[in-house]
Amino acid sequence: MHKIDDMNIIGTKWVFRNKMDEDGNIVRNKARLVTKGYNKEEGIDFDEIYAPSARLEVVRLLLAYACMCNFKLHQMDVKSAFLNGFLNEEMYVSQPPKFEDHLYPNHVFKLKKALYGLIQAPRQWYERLNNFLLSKGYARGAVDKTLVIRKYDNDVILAQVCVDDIIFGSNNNTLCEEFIAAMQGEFEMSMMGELTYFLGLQLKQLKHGTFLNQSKYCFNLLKKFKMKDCKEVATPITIN
Amino acid sequence: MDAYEAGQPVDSTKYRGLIGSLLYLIASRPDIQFGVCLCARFQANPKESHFKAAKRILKYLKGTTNVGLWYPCDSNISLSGFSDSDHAG
Repeated sequence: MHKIDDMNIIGTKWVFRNKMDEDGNIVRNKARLVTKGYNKEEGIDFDEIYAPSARLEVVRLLLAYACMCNFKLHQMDVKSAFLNGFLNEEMYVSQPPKFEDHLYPNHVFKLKKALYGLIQAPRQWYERLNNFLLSKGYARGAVDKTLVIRKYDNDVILAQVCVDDIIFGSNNNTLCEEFIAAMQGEFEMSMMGELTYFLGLQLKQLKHGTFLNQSKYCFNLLKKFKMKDCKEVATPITIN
Repeated sequence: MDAYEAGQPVDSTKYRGLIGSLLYLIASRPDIQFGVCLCARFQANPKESHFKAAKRILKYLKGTTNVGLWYPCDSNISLSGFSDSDHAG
């Protein structure tokens, strides 16, 4: 639509990233249009922006529980999750750089859904996901709001939502399949299979238990602080 | 070790960065929890000696990079609590 003088227009820019695999080879080039959503005013451009995210302790707890009940955890993620959120406010963005329309250089876009960089994008995504899951009959944890749960007699499905990453598991495989089908029907998902790497935690779900470590993170930490070739010591603190 | 250690002040941004990175590692490493939390108390005005203590944790990690947590399937799920209070006695 045509630009009006007192309209609050948000600029846009392109962000380019190369996706690398574990060995550092470039596997994909990504381009994403983001908004310059900083210095927005509360009450005009946004109201509620809080969005919960799973805590690391909670992930560990789920892991221990799954291990005890003898079921495996799986992982999936939502592709460009924030683009799924609907906006409650009227927002306008300028035309993407290098893609301006020569016939209508003074026009701007009105947003229907959220874009990356908007201050309310995480909240709107969380709201959308939450409403969807509730409509499908899943319940939210009473204390831990990022826990998604559904019970059938002796069967239960548990899922933890960490923004766009979802880890889930059930003692009954049909419940898992049902959950996957529901999510795939609503959002564009990518299945990652069994849980092996999550938020920097490396996990191995074996027959007799689950092993959790952060050796990759630890190695990078030593590299970052230039301690890769330091001498080893046996204790973390000096003795006496 | 206390907040009033003598010695040269060190770059507090770097010190905080180190503490922050170590805090995330606690997720799978309860063995360094005490050391990291001790070092974390001196972030306002870190001295050479504090930095040295923090780097000692890194030295320890260098030798124990691959350790982690093990949850055995047949473990007991009952909750246990421990207390060490002596009510100022």
